[in-house]
Amino acid sequence: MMMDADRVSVSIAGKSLLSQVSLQLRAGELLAIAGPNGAGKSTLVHVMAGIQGPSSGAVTLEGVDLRDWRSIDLARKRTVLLQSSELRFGFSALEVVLLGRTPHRGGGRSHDDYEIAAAALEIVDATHFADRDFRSLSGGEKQRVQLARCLAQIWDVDLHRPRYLLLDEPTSALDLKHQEHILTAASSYASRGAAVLAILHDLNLAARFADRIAVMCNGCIEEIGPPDAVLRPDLIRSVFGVDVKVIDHPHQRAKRHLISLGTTV
Amino acid sequence: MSVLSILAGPLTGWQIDPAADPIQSAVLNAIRLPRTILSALVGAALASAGAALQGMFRNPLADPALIGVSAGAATLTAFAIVAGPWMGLSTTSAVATWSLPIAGFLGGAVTTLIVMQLAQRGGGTDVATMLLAGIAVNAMAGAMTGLMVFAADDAQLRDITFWSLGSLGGATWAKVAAVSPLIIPCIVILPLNAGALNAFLLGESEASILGVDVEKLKRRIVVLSAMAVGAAVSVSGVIGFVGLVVPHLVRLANGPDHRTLLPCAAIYGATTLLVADTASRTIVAPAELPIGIVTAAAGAPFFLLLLGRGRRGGEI
Repeated sequence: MMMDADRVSVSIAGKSLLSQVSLQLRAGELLAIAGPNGAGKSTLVHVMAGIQGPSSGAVTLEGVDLRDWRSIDLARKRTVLLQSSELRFGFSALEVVLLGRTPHRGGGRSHDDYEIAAAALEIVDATHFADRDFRSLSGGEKQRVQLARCLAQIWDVDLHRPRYLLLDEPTSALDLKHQEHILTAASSYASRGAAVLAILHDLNLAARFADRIAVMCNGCIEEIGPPDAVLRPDLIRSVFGVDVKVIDHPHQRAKRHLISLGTTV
Repeated sequence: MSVLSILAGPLTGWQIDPAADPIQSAVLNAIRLPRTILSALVGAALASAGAALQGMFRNPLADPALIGVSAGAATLTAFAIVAGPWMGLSTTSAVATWSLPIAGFLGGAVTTLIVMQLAQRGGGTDVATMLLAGIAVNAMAGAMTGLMVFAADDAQLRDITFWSLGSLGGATWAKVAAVSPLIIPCIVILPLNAGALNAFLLGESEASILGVDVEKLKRRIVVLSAMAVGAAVSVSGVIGFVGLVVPHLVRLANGPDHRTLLPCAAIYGATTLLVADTASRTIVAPAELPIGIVTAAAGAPFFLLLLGRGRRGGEI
């Protein structure tokens, strides 16, 4: 049960954004993607989401090419949190989350849909502004509500029904507490049987929450593996141009922590 | 419900003793009733199409008139009025009764497609470009209508002038019969897309992630709106602001959920146009003010108010 990108290349207007990227996203894992700006992270997520067609190569979900899936079946299995979503109409936060139930039988109107939406809002700590106009929320609050909408879309996950959650920078607008909160939620969602892929800029968050990290650079995956194996000073220096010192996490023995020492000259 | 009560009011009032005054009964049956029904149909068509187009463009300022649907419909209708006799059609014949709504629909559909095509930017519809393209298409359609005016004889000129200001004065049962098959299906089918339109408000990519076939939805909304507006324009002329203002009022009252918005917009659109038509008949009675003047006079200040609010909110 997995999502499989096989030698995927994307080029737009003659510019190569991804070249020959292969990546497997397995049920039960949280896979973090890190890399400098313009490395092709978002493009990879768009291709895996099926929003962007690959120029060559293919993405398969559970063995079937994404292009051969019926869009409604796909919508019940996988969801994507995109970076920027604007909304010009006055839906409340709860109504936005209910839109996540669009592909399901209740269509966002049934009693179950409301219960799921309420539970999803609870997960992202947004219950207290569920009735507020979405447009009046702060950037971070909007991001949490959009994440709740994504969770509501693929709510019914278990080991026999894997779900695929693709997150493009889910923590970019969040404060420290909610970064922790959201990634805890994402990793517990993964442990229930979902496959979670998240673009993260904060390598320390990736080190703590991800089962694997893929480091991208110039449209390629430089290295992929468990945080321990990937987060090495030499790789960080060559990809990001930043010197880091790697230490053990003071409370979580198995985890590593990176301290930036400044850019390399 | 308000539509029903308005319809039922004069009916019960007039028909207490129909045999006593055959003239009154004839006025009701041949003039008032088709006009009332046509007003309701046109109002419902404009408001439903406006609501659906605003959802599709994800912009509360999209109006059938603003993006060229009405102007395109008016142009082809004017063409049909002027060129009809050349092609051997009398404007009073049954063929003409049908040819005008069809011309209106085609004009509306073509202009909408042009505007949509021009506004395509990287897989999405760019709203600013859409509005600018609408202005250009409006101007072009205006020029072509002007050309028709130039070529028209006196009787045709009067017809075209009435069309450009909007009037329900020429309502007949034949016109009701001609536009009903175009307008009623639209009013019924548009709400079936409500869930998809709701998802669409999040953005095109988001809607496709939620399982909506985005391109198919856009095509369907454009065709249905052009059908409804084109047919409406062909019998009533260009009636502005109903398609813009009515959906807004419904959103203010009920929120932006298309599942309630689309049916409510149809009902309130019908009611609004009935009220506007009554006003147009009574303000300068016994003469009649073109209804387009009434809706524009009432709707334009509202539009400006929306613009002001939108700018303060940083929306436009």
